[in-house]
Amino acid sequence: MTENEAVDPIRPEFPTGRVKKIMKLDKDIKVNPEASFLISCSTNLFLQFLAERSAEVAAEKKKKTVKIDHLRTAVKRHRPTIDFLLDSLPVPAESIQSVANSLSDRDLSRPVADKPAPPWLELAA
Amino acid sequence: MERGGFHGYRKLPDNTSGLKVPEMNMRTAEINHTNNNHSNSDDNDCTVREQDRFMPIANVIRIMRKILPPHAKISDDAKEMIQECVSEYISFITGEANEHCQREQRKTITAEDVLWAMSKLGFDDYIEPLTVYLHRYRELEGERGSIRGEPVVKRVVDYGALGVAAFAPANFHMGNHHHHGHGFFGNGTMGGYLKGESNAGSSQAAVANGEPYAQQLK
Repeated sequence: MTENEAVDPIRPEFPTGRVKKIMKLDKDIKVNPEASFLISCSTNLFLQFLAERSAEVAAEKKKKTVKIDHLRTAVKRHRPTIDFLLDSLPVPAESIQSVANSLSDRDLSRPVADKPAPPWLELAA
Repeated sequence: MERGGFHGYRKLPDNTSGLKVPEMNMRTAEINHTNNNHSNSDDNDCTVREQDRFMPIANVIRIMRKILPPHAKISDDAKEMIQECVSEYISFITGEANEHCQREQRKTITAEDVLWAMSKLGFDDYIEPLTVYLHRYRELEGERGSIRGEPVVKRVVDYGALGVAAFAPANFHMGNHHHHGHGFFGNGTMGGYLKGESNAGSSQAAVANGEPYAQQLK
């Protein structure tokens, strides 16, 4: 751990109040200050992790701009993160296209326009 | 609508949602946040203001910039997506910590619950640094509790010794400090001390916010 990283958690980068608000979103939980401090620190670590991995993916693809697809690939490479994050990320454009293609191939009996999107395509919803 | 899961409060990650305002949380302001249990049949389940559901995008971007190569860019939708990921992460850990806490018949999530959740959810790598941070936090909090009302001038003098001593995690027991251990929190809340903003202002203002301690460690 560099000294800079050692310093940062004592001044967490995230506003304490906001951390608590987000924690309480799903239910009205009670949390002591130490715990919300740790959540803040760990969130900082997680964000750094995401940034680093996403940047790696972008570099692999020789892109200067980190995009959602890079983020998605980075998430897919880390098992614990997949567990809670993959469903939140929009399905990549290319795979929607190929899914649409395969659908029209398979379901020739139904007009494509009238067909509702299958539930699993609504991952982004 | 079912709000038990992480996704209940999230906006649709949709490019046409009009949320691509960079650097500022100018998302649609919604009604005040109410306890989820009271949302009834109201279909407006976005009863939390957008800006309360996410970390400020400025903070998120700042942290990312420290990590990314200097000339790297981040697309606007990636920035927003990451903002959501951050909130998802918080919910994820909190949910697990809360369940653990309740299984143990307690009502308030503690640091130990959080650490437990880290381990359970596969973020074992974080446990060690978090434990160090926790020890420092407790050390500082302990000092703050025991020495209030010290004059500002004295506090400034002690930063050097405090900085050195505080780095040794073993020194977190109260009463074992060999340095003066003056508290340097002008205000009464840890929240003020833990303010995220980097403040390079006057030393007196910084003292009130506890900043010099961190500056000492730089």
